Amino acid sequence: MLNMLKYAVIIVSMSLMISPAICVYAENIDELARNFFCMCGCGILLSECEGNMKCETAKSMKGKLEELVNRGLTREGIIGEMQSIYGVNVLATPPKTPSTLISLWLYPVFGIAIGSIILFLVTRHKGKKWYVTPDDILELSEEEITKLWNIEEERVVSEAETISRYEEIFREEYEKSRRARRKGSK
Amino acid sequence: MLDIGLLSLLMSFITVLTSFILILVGSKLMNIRVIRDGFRMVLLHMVFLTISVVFMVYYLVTRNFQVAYVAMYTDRNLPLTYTVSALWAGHSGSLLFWSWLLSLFTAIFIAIEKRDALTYTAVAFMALINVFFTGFLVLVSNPFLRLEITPLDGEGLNPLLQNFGMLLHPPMLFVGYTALTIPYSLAMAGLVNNSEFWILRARKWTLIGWFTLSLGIMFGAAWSYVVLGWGGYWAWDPVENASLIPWLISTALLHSFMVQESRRGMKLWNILLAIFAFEAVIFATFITRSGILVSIHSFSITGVGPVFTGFLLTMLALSFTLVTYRYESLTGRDIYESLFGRELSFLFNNLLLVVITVTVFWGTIYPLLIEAVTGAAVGVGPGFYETIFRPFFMGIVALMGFCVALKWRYTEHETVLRRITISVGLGGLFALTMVTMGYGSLIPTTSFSIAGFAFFSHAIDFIEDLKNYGFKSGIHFLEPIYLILTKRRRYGGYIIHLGVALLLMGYVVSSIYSSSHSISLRIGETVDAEGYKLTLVGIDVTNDDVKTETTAVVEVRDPEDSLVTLKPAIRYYPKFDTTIGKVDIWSKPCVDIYLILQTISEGSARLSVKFIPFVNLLWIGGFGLLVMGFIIACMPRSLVKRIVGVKHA
Repeated sequence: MLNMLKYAVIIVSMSLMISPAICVYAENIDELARNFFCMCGCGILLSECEGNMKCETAKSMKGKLEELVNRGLTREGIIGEMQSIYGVNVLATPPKTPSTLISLWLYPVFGIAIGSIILFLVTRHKGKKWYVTPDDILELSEEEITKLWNIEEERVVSEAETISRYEEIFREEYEKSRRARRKGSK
Repeated sequence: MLDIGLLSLLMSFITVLTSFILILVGSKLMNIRVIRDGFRMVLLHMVFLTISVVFMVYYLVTRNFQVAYVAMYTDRNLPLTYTVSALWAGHSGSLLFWSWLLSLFTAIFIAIEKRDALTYTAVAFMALINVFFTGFLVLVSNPFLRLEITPLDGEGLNPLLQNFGMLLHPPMLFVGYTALTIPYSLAMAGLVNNSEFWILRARKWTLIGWFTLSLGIMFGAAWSYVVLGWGGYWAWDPVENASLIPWLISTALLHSFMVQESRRGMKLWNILLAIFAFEAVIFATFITRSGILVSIHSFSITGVGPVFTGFLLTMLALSFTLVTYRYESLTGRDIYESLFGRELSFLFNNLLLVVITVTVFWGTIYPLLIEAVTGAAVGVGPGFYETIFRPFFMGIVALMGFCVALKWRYTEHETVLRRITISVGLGGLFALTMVTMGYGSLIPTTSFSIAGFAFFSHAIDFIEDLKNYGFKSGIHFLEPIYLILTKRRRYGGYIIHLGVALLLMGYVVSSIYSSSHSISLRIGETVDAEGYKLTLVGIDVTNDDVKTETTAVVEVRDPEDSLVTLKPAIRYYPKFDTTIGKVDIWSKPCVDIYLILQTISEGSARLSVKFIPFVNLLWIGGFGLLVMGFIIACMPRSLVKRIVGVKHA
């Protein structure tokens, strides 16, 4: 019974998530203008190019939009008309043509596909090695982590070690030069 | 005349170059004295750069218009606060500021990190990066350049930049960018020394970089929200995208660090993320400063493109050479143990974050590439990003919920099912509440369900953790706080996760349900918009030395009969021949009433009123919870021990 209840909750919640309640938005000029870039060269949406109150291009483009709306064109019709007047770069959202689908729109799908293949390859190897819980690592020093990580030969050379190595090299060099001096004197 | 600022800059270049050579030679010869001399040179470099910055600020404040940079970005009417902010308003000033921050971070790094080969090599890399920046300033973009004829007044700071955001947004971004060079330098040092310990030291620097970058982005969003014509809090502009890319990569890095810490896996992946986070930082500068892409945020366009591209590629080549050299020791395959372990969910988290990073990057450079290849001009605007980003954002928040429902290593199936069932159920109920409030279309309902699921999943984990905490003294009201502080890394992250869930809700609702109305009002007239009554009370015109401001005084009465007076204005700056709209906002808990003055004519005004719901969720999530989570995650051990007590800590 409890299990049934669990599944019922899941099903109800999932269906809630995907229930497509229909929402109708008022199609006004400002909303339509979000589909186009202003052609004044500012690089921002037509709906936003009102910060510069003197943008004549924005005014003229919005006038054109109003005219197209008054002509009774559909949203798609307006987009097509604006594209024919100002060119493809007026569109704020690149059209879904075969070339843009491959080069732009489907890019995330390719990314996920390639990433999933890499993930699959990586996760073929399971391992039981576990060194430290990340929640606890803040409480540990590097020395303690070295022990937990089981690093037998730690390659990070400490300052003290560097000095001793330096002294070692220095001693070797000194010995070499002393031997050379002795040979020379003989 | 001898310019001490320039001289110091020159000296800083010489000292940083010398320090790089000394550390390199010292490491090769194993000569600690030489390395120490190199460190002294790094500190000297910081001192010289500080002098340079102080002199630049002095020139700005004293309005020394003989210095070209001062003449270009200030004038006699500019208030003092914005005069100081002119330091990062222009190209060479901002690079000087960045270079100084990097020198400061290097000095702090030397002071607090353990003295060993890893630190020496990391400092060498930081010095190398600053050789580029200071060299660039000295040889290509001198901020202390003098004019032959001193102008009587400067050109002044763009009025759009005279905003509180200018004092916070750019410096925060620069601190973030600078901090992210340290994980990169440590990663390179790890490769050179064949050491894994770089991740233990890089974590805190990545967190600092990530946090300041987050704050910088949020301050930018808040600034953009109140500036008319910048497309609201996020416009998917190339410059905005460029700052988002390093943030996304560093988010992925902060998660994948944990897999290497616990399992010593993902070694190569973490190195690559550190490299690309740094490359993204250079790319962001390149996009902002080169003007190669049209942006509303490019205020100083220069021909730095080839130099920065060269640097970006050189560092990439150097990094990959080192990766190839150490490839054998980077192939740790031990990443996960069970499908029901938290580690695997981190892999999916990284996959989503990396794919969205690549998509944002690709969308940003796409117009450039298409123009280069086909000659056709194509724009990629918010429509593309919103279509792609929304499902990814929802996926990331959903994954946050799944991730915390899982334990490290392995979780019993029953536990996972129980946690997810409860979270999904409560998340669904939460969404139902929002539907009853009128936000019932597909995308908001889905995002509320997902955000609710993530929230309850975190809450369940916390409650179960609290049960297992092991206090012998029974339930105490301080126990949750003790637990949060004891496991501060985990719960700091959880609080930030909740902030991200709020961001999702705020972003989705405010972008889908905002509505706008254009209204014309005569003085004394009242109109109704969505139940709010707007009355034009009057029109004021004021003049000062720099601008003419025309203000519409509008009384707004909400359905509950609360009354607020809003004063949107149009400001005309004759010196710049620029007109800027000043919006006024009545911010209520559930909705922002955003009033814009469009035009004024004889006794009447044309206004645009926008209703933007739940935008406050963005600020609560993006500022409040982010800061709280960061403070908890970074709390020092000694302080936690003092609060919680040694026994519990």
